Amino acid sequence: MINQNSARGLLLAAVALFFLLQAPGYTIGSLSRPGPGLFPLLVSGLLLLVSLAIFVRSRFIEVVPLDFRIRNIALVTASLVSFALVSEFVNMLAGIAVMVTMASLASDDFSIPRTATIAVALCLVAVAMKKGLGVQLPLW
Amino acid sequence: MEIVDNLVFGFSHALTLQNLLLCALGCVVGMLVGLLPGLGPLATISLLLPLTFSLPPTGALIMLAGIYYGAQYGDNVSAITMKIPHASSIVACIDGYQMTLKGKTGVALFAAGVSSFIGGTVAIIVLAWLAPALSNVALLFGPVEYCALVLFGFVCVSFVTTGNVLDGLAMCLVGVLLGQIGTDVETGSQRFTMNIQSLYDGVHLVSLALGCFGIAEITKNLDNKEQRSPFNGTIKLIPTWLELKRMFPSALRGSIVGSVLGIMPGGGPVIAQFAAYAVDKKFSKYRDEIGQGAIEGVAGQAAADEAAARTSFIPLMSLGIPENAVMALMMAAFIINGVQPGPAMIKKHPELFWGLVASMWIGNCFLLLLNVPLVRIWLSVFKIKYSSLFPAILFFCCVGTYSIANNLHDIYATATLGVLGYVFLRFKLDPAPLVLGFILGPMLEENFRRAMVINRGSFAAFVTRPISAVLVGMVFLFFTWQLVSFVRDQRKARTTK
Repeated sequence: MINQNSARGLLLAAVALFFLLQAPGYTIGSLSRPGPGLFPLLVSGLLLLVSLAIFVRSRFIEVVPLDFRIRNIALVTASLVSFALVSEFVNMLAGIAVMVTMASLASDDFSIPRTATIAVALCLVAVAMKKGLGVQLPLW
Repeated sequence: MEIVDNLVFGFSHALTLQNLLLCALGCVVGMLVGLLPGLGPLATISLLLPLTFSLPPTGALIMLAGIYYGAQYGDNVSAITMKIPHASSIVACIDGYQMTLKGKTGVALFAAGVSSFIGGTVAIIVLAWLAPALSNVALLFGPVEYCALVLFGFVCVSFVTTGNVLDGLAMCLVGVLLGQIGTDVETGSQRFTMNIQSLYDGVHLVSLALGCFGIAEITKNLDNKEQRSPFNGTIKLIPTWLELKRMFPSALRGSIVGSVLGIMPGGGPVIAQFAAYAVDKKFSKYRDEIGQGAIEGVAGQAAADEAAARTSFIPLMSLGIPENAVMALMMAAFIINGVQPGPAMIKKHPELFWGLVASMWIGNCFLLLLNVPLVRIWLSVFKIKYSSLFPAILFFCCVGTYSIANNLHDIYATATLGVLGYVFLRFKLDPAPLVLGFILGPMLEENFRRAMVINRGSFAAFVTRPISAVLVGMVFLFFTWQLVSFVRDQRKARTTK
């Protein structure tokens, strides 16, 4: 089991290090003549301190198990990415159909007729946005 | 009576047909997103931001403001009937839902609607009177004071939104760092772009807000099973005379508490509701009933909620400093529409400021109409199942992202930030401070660099200049207090063991 509280400190420390390690690559300058690297260096350093404090605190407070489910976020992300890909290489109406189908798999009561209804309704909305509001959508 | 003249001037701008329609549209959309799960005011405002480019600034801001305060009304309705607050109406769940369990949904909705109207009206008077006066204070603010105020604001927001100052502060800083991605304005050098071309212009606010508040929220809702409320759809709206008499004192108390707390840094609707509820619990004649479905528990918090939603515009419009995440987004909306919020705005764009203030009262009337006589129509929205709703929200997130620059590749950024937002949610980190940090980050950096150059690299000015010294001192005191109370709690826990 992963402890949510200490994992939170580590996650934030990882974010801080991502920026902290890159910042020296930009000109730091001096405090009186700050370069582009100085501010991110200070902020990520501060974030590292805060995340360490969060980690230390987790040793003293009750352990909470980390509840992380990969399935739904994977399906939702995949549906967004495939929407962008299908819209780019085929067209956006097909993209809507693919996205709605993939995303609907994430709900606990998947049904084909309902998914088809939603896809058709959204396609109609998209057409209305293009024709009525003049939004530039690559629908076909 | 200068205020009256100014308000008349404002109404003459807010009452044009286009602005009236935009105000009504904003209120209806706000009400809807307040009712429905998965799209709070933050996501909706950022979703509609690209669509406002073609509107005149006054109209665009009237609509976006309408979404914000409309969502507060809608949220109250969903909290009372379903016990699900989407944006912020946590307090309405307590007594509001208890009233639903007693079969008094209608009276609770009536009290919430009317009290919100009272709260909104009081707050608009405060806004019209205080914002122009405060803009003189803004002239005392230099780069040092600005940095200190932003830091103070971060600490306040962290404490208020998450109840845990370290987690919130960390999210503010992550937001500031995400705002660093892209081209440095002063030197033109690329920072943290990882050589990805679409990052050269930085992470777009719309992508960030839709990722963290749209995609991440939707997925989190999908992880939870749907819950059913005993609410059966039939309501009796009209309260008895006694209930009406009990409602007004609470609503007035709530309006005052809300107006004051809305102005504070880190303030806003959430803290105002809690404070108003606490005040009612202490001073109401019927305080023993609060918590078990008393009308005071609904009226006071609803008034405070609405009042704080309006007065939180004051620091933004007079000082140019947003005090919470929604206001930070509104600031972005001002800037995108070519208006710099701050001390000069009221003088330079009087039609915008007074028009917006006047439109808030018009919106208030719209919402009263939508919430009291027409509330039955809105309740039918709850019959939509979440599994039919969320694909539509995803679609709007995609279209919203796409229409920033008519570029499909921006959707990848939104998807990535959605994953990031979901990870943060699962680790119990609130993304609202992140958005605030993201928007204030570039300005903080600019002022920090300027302050350093002016003071030749010395931090002494932060404690020698009076305004900044007070703010820094308060931050210091706050952290000391947090540390002392943590250690004391630890000791107590150990001795009881």
